[in-house]
Amino acid sequence: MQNTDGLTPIDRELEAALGGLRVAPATISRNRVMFDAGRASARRRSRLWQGSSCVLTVLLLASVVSRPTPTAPQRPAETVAERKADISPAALSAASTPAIDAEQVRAFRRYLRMRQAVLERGIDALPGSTEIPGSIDPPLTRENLDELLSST
Amino acid sequence: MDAGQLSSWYDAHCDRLVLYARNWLPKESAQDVVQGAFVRLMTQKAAPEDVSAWLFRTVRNAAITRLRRRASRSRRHAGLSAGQLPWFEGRPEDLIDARTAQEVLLTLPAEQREVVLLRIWGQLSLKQIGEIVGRPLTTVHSRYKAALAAIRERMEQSCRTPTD
Repeated sequence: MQNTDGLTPIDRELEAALGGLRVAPATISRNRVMFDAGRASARRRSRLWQGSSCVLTVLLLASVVSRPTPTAPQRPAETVAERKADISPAALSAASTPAIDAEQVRAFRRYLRMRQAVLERGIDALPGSTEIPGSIDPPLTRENLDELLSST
Repeated sequence: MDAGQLSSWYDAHCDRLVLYARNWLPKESAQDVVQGAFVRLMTQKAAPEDVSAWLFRTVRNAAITRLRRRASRSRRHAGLSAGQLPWFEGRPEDLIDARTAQEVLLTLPAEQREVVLLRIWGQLSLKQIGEIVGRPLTTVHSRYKAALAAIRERMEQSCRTPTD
């Protein structure tokens, strides 16, 4: 025993006499203690694995939830479709059937008639600076235009 | 830590730890507390630097916790003084009668008795005892000396008193 400083010889004798008493043995099952200790140790290790797998699961879920939405590649077809959708129906119809100026139609008709007259009667058929009489034009339709063109 | 180490520690400390726990608890509860201390020792990541002191400190904390849960101070004192199973095995070669020693120890204040149990049967130094009970070395030393004086005085009284 250590640190016995300050004790008298009588104290040391008493100390020795008391120390000679044998402690009553415990009735704990040694096998039970060893089994419980081993189980607790294994449980601690399994908790380590359980804890780490839980952390990894949480990280996986967080990464799945917070993953940014993938952006679709820009395809030309979709671009054309979007542009078509942007154009109003009126503008689309106007683009497909370009407007024909009425003055241009009349001039074209005069040209065709004059050309027809020159082909039939020669250069004398050329008018002066005046307009060809009876030139009240019927409305220009596709049928009229085809008729005029076929007659030339 | 492996089973071999635990086994050697068990052989070296089990009985003394139970005796120490009986400073507060009856034998069955004291054994439960000691068993729990060994289980807890096995769950440590590394063996404590001073296994003996660690075991005694763990048993002390667990015993006091259990005592606070179970009973008041007066009931504890009644439980310790009455109906105690023997703390020591009486042998013919003993210089002191085992039962008389137990009776004398039970008359000591709990703080002094704890120091005596740790010092004589726990075989711990006064410095280790101071760390376990959380008191300075001088306090532990004075408690120990006072306890020895009280034991000697009461042993002498019991020797002078005629027995039937």
